[in-house]
Amino acid sequence: MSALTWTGVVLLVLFLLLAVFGPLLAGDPDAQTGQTLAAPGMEHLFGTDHLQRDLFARAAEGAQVSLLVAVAAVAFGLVVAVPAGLVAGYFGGRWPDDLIMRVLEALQALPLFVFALFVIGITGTGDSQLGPLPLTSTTKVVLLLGVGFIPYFARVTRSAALVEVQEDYVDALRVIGVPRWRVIAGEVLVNVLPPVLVQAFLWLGVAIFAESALSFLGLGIQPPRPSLGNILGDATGYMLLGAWWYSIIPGLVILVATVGFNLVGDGLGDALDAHGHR
Amino acid sequence: MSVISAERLVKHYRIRSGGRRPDRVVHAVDDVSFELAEGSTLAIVGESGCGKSTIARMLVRLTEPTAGRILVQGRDTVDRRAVQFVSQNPWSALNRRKSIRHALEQPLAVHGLHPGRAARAARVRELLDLVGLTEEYLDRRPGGVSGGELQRVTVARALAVEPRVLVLDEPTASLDVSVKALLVNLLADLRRRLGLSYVLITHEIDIARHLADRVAVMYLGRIVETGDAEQVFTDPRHPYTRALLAAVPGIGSREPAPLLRGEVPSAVSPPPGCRFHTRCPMAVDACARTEAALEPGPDGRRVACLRLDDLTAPPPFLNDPS
Repeated sequence: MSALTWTGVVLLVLFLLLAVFGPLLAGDPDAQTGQTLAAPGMEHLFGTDHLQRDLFARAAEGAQVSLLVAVAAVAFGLVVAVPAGLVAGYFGGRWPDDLIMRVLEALQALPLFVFALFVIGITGTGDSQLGPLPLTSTTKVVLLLGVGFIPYFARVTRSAALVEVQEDYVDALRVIGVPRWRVIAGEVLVNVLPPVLVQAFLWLGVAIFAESALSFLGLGIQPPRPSLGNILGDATGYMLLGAWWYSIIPGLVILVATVGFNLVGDGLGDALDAHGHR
Repeated sequence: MSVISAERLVKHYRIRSGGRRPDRVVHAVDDVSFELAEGSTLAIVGESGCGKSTIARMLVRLTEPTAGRILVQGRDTVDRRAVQFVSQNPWSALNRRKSIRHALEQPLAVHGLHPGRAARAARVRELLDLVGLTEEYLDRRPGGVSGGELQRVTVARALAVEPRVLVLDEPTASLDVSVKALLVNLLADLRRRLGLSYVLITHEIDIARHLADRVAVMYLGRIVETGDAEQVFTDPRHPYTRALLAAVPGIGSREPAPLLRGEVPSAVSPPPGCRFHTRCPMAVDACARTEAALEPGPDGRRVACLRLDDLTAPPPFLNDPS
C-alpha cells in the first residue's frame, strides 16, 4: 500500500470517527451555550457559532448527515445503474444497449446543478409530496445526487460487463441451458461488481462534496438540521468578523472526507487491478 | 439413424459498412452437410478462419444458421441436454469467482436432475470420478487448478446432463503437450464407456487422427473432402487436403513441408469457382469458373475437385525440390 493510500486511510478514519461517534459524545447540536462566536478552546473544541451553538456538535452531526446522504445517494445510483449497465453490456451493440445508453446520455446531458435548481425551484426547499410519498429536503438531495450518478455508474458497469461477456463461460452456461437472466444476474454480476464498487467508493467523496455544495447554496439540507454544507453557508458572513474557525472547521471536515474517500478509493482500485487479473 | 446431422448449413455474417455503401457479407460457412453415426467421431479440420468454429457454435445452438437445418436424433429442435459443448480455453469456460462444485451442480439444478442434496452430491462425485478427478477439487476456484485438470472439469460439466453428442472445439489447443495425450485418452475412454458421439473441431491433425472415425476437411467455409479418417489421412485426394497434411511433420510427405503459396483469401469475397483455385497447384482455367460438387468417389469418400480424375497422382508440388 502506498503512502498516499495510508494518508487516505488516516483521513477517512478521522472523518468516520467524527461522523459515527462525534454526535454521541457531543450532545445536542442545537443547544445554546451562552457564548457567541467563541474561539476554539478547551471548553468548545471547535468554538461556537453566531447562535451560541457548539461547533463540534454541529460539525459532528453535519458530518453524519452528509455521510448518510452520500451513502444513500450512491446506493440509490447503484440500484438503478448496475442492472441497467449489466443488461446494456450483455447485449453490447444491440438494441437494448442502444436504448439504455441513449437514455443515460440524455440524463448526463443535464448538469447536476441545473437539474437541482429546476427540481428545487418547482418543489421548494421544504418538504413536499410526490404523489403519496412525503419528500423531505434530505430525501430530495439523496434522489437528486443518486439520479445524477446513474449514468456514471451504469457506464462503469457496462464496460466491465462488455469485457466479461466475451468469456467462454457465458456461452458454456447458455449451452447447458441456464436462462439468460440467470447468466447475467448469477454469473456475470459477481465479476462485474468489484470494479463497480471501487468506483462507487470513489464517488462517496464526490457525493459529500456535491451535497455540501447544494446545501451551501441553500438548495440542499435545510436548517435547523446541520450538514457540512449549510454550516459553511451560515458561516460566510462571519469570516470577516474574525470568526475564522466558523468557516474553517466545516470546510476542513469536507476536505478530509473527500480526499480520504478519493485516496482510499484509488488504493482499492490499484489493489483490484493487481489481484483481479489472471 | 444418425445422432446429429447438418443439412446444407449456411452462415453468413453481415458487416455494416456504414453510410451508403452496401453491407458486406462474410461467408463463414457455405452449404455444409454431414451426418454423425451413434458412437462415432467426426473430425472437422482446417486452418483458422475456415468456418469450423462457426459450425461448432451452430451445432450447440449458440448461433442460428442463415440457412439449413441441424437435426438431433432426427428432430430439428433445440435440445439443451442432447448436445453439449467443450471449448478451447478452460480458464475462460469456467467462472473464475465460482467454485468447481458450483460449475458441476449448476447443470443438474437447471434441468432438475438428481434432486435433493445427497443425490446431487453423489452425482457430482460420480462426474468427477468419470474424468479422473478427486473430491478435493470441489471447493477450489479455477484460478488454482491446472489447465489439464480444468479441461476435465469442463468435460464433466458437459457430461452432467447426460448428452448424446459432445461438440469439442479445439479441446486440446491450450494445453501442454504432456497433458494433451491424457485428455485425448480420456475422451476416447469416455466415448467407449458412455456411448458418446463427438464432433471434434481441430487444427491439430494428430489429435484428429487419434480420435476420428470420419473426417471433413474445410477450406473457406466449404467442405473440400470428407470420408473415412484413415483413408483421408493416409491417402488424401483434394489438393488442399494434401497440402494441409504435408504441412504436418511426420504425416504424408517425409519431405520438408511444402508451403501453400499466398494467403487464405478473404471470406468477405470468396473467389469464384473453386475457392481454393487461387492457391491450388493443379488449378486449370475451368476451376476459376466452375465450382466442383462434393462428388462421392468409388471408395465412399467425397471430394470437391474438378480434377478428381487426375488426383490419383501426387500433386506436382509435393515432389518439387525447391
